[in-house]
Amino acid sequence: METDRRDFIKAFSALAAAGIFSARMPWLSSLYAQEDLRTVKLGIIGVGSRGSLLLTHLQEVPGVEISCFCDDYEPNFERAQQMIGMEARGYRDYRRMLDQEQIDGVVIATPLDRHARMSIDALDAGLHVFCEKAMAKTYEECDLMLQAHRRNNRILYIGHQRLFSARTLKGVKEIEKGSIGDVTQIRAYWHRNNDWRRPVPSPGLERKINWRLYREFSCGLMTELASHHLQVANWILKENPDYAWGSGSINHWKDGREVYDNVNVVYHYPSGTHLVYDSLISNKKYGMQIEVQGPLGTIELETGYLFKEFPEPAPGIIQLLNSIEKRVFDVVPVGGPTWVPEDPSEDKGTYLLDRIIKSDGTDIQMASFVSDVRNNRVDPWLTEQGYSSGIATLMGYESMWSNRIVSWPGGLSL
Amino acid sequence: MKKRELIIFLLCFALAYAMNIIGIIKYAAPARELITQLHLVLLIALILYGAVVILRLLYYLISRLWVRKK
Repeated sequence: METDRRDFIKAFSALAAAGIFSARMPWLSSLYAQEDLRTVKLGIIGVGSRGSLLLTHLQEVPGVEISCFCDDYEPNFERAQQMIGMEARGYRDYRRMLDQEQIDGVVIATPLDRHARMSIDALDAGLHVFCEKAMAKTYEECDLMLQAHRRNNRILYIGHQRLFSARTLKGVKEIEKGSIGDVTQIRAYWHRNNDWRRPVPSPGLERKINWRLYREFSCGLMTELASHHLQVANWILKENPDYAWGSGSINHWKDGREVYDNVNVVYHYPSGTHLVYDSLISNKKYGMQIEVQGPLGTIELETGYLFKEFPEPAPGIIQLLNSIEKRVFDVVPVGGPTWVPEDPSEDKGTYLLDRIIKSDGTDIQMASFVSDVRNNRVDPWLTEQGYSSGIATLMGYESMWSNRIVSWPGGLSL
Repeated sequence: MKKRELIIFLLCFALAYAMNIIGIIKYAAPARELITQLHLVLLIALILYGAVVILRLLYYLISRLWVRKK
């Protein structure tokens, strides 16, 4: 726990050191605002693997009381009780929790198909809401969530932590500064090599525990992974994709799952830029990355590196020594090739931050949510980020399953 | 003896510095490299001096063998 705290402080100070707190990123303002430390009372709905992680981060934030929790799966319920303490009241039904508790907000980390219902009920009950990504399972649900946020004027965070990650923030700042020129393409991928399953104590619990694998509850890799990268792409390009086309299949994990184990989608943006996205869970050589490309360079946001297309030349004396070395040792070619392979640029890259940061932004995001709840600071832009990412995610999903190009759905609230 | 070594090292340094000037002119590098690359110049001067020391040692050993054979 102490390590988490240190990481949090390191990540937070890295934001400050990187000069990230600026007028251009107003959603971070709560983090450094002077404020009284009035205790914020929160409840948490869904205390599975992700919910537990969020809970751990919340417990690190000063001035937070987790006064209640809800989970309908007994092992999760017991673990939550242990983590929070016996003074926290546990519920199996979130509606009862919303009715009976005097709290400021809720954190929702449940399967995707429940996000909309739970968030809307909480917002209508006058509570601030943090809901895990992706926003919801259908276009209509996303729309209803956005409307509920606007109608009640309550905070609605969607769990896109890259908005709070020092690496991403610094990278986006560099892009806005023009370090890579105009953004001409974004390539993003998320590769793993595992079956994406959780252990199931009895067959009857398969769909409850491995809900990510079934279309009744989830849209698979698109909502669980791609939504993060779509949020970043929309944020960088400052627009939403106007159409998407994709293809996916189950080509490796043929174990009864219903969602694709590999997805490949191209998003077109009105400016003419594309996001080329793929995700698979049968090979992890390339891991995950968001490569933002322009004529002057590439920024890899997940690792925080800038690669220049035309790096600064080496000092004159080094160039001279290199040329002497080449003259002495190089073989003199008799004839040249008529075709030269397109070698990648040789720049080894520059790390954009002044220190290595492990945090992916989740800890900072939780601190920001608490701070916004305390100050009753509603940021519509943040909610719209979650909304447009949610819609784009579903466009890719729909395109894959219908085998056709899918346009941004009309008649929505944005 | 010490003076001779110092003169040899200074000659090596002068040669390395000349290389720096040639590099700057040939590759149109910024003039500030006359100062900013001094660490490299010093390193090259030391390498040159080391090479000279090895050559002199070899010369000394060979000439002694030659004298003995005679």
